[in-house]
Amino acid sequence: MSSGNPSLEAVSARQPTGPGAMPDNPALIEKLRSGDPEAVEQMVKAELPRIYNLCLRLSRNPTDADDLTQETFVHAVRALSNFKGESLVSTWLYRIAVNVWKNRVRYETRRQKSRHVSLSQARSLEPDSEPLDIPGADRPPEEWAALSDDHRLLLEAMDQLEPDDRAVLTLRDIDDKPYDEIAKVLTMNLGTLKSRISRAREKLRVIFRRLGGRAS
Amino acid sequence: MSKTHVTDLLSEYIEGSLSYGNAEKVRGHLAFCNPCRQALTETEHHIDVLKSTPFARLPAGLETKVLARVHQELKAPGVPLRESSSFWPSWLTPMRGLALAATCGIAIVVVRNVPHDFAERAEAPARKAPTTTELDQKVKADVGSANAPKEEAAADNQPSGEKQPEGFGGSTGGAAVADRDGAAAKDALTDAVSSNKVAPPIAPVAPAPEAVKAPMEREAAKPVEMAVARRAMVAEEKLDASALQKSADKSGRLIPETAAPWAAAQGKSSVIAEKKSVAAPVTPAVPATPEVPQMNRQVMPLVKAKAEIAAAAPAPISPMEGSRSSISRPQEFVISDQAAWEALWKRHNSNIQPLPVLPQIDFATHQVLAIFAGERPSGGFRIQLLEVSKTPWNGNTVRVVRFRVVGPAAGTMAAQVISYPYLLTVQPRFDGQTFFQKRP
Repeated sequence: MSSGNPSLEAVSARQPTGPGAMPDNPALIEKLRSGDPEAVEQMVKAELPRIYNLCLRLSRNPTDADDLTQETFVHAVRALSNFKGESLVSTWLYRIAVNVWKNRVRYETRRQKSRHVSLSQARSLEPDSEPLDIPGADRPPEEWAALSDDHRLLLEAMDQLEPDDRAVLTLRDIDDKPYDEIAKVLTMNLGTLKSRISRAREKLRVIFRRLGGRAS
Repeated sequence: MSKTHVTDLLSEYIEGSLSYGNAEKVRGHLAFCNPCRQALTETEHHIDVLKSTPFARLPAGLETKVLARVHQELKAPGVPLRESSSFWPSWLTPMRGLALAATCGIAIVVVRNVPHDFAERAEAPARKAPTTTELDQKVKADVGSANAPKEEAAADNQPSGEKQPEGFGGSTGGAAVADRDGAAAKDALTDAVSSNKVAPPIAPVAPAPEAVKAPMEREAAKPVEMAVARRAMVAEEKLDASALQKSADKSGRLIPETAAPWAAAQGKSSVIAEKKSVAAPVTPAVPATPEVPQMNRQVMPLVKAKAEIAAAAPAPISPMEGSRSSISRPQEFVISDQAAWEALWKRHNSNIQPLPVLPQIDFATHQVLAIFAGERPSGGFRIQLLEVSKTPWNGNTVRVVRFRVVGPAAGTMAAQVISYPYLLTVQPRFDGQTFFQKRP
């Protein structure tokens, strides 16, 4: 992943992230399904901030969040005819965004595993050598500045979680989504979701302490 | 939840989504467990901190970029709004080859397993219920085999009532009681055949194999009673009608009389005892002759009854008591009209194709009481109708139906299948309230 673009402005006031920004009336859904450009544009404008923030929280990188957001809407437009209106448009877009992000993580993981290191670079693995050119998860300075130490450490701890655990905690604890909507986004039943959230919180707590986080 | 800590319940405890019992358990544990209390505090703090993550504003130009790409996608030929033209659903697309291979494999296995005489079998007539003649022959064979040596051997195998299922042996149990029951059944049977005064409320017909099989199994140690019982099952509807009429005339306690023929067929001593009190004065319609062996004299009325039944109503009916209802929840119904009866019959037999012929009930004079016991863990369960009585209640007369669900006796073997026992009984019409009481 490439380095970040420090163009984000953190705002102290938490914006509403619940469903409802996109009015889900049947006529609009029908227009979306038929590919009406105006309806599609309306959807993009209404949902873009949420999707971007979700991608940013999942990827921790503004540039990646930018890419993921574009990819999410492109996938959505391609799949418009398959949208049945059984869930909110925002939920549907969330699901696409999470899947796009998971695919990206999988791709990056494979790329890292299959990466060849030349003999000239092998010395980089020694303790005193220069770090390899492996993309990191940069954060925009503005956002870092606005966060407390605990907050930064917690977000770092979240980076070390498995993608599924990170997704559930992002949706539940950061985005404050209700259980049923998260279950729809991640296509899992409520019981599984609750136990996954429980396990993820416990893992986060353990990692947080390992990183030096202090007990409150 | 681990044995020593409650960390895996803390998350739901914080959310308030734990059940009252579990929440109390966690609360109690937290009172003395410092590590869990610490974990709770930390998790609550982490949630609070994460919830305060600021909402980032959109980077400049992102909306334009996204809209440009979206419009580009909309203009692309064939993308994005083509309807799914593929036969395969999108989720199956990556597995097309696998699905095709699996389908072919299944087809090959099926084709190979089709018997070669399949066509002949298809042309052959469907399997029929045993005819009256066949039943007669089988009965004679049973009676013949019931002679002394086997009968004694069977009696030796079951010397006392201790081994009998509770529901069938009754509280007094024992072979002697069962013999008396058998005699009562014969009396009832003879009485029904000879009187023949009351039109049966249900079109009678030869019972389905299940109805015959059940008493056969239960009475395996008493072939004589078994043979008589089988005939009692054949004529049960007629007996039901006559017993119903008599009971209505004499005591108004309908069910013991109505259930008696079936009970007799199954050796239910408790119900038979009540039956005997009513049926005792009735004399057999067919006089005994010295030329006819004793057992044949007992069988003769049954043969006549079967002939009458076969001539009167050939339409088959489902057994009125069994363990394979499609109604899987414990429920009771009073059916008072044809539409409800048809609906119940359809629902009750929805696992049988084709649907058995609907028994004809005269709802002007009768009602059907239907009792379904719900799911039971094994075979051997049945519904025992104890009593149908009328009693004053709140200034009105109400009908009370008492029944119990009898399970297989301890130590006996039962089929390890889920069963759904049911009982359908026809009763004189009663337009007041009906209460069902399930007894332990």
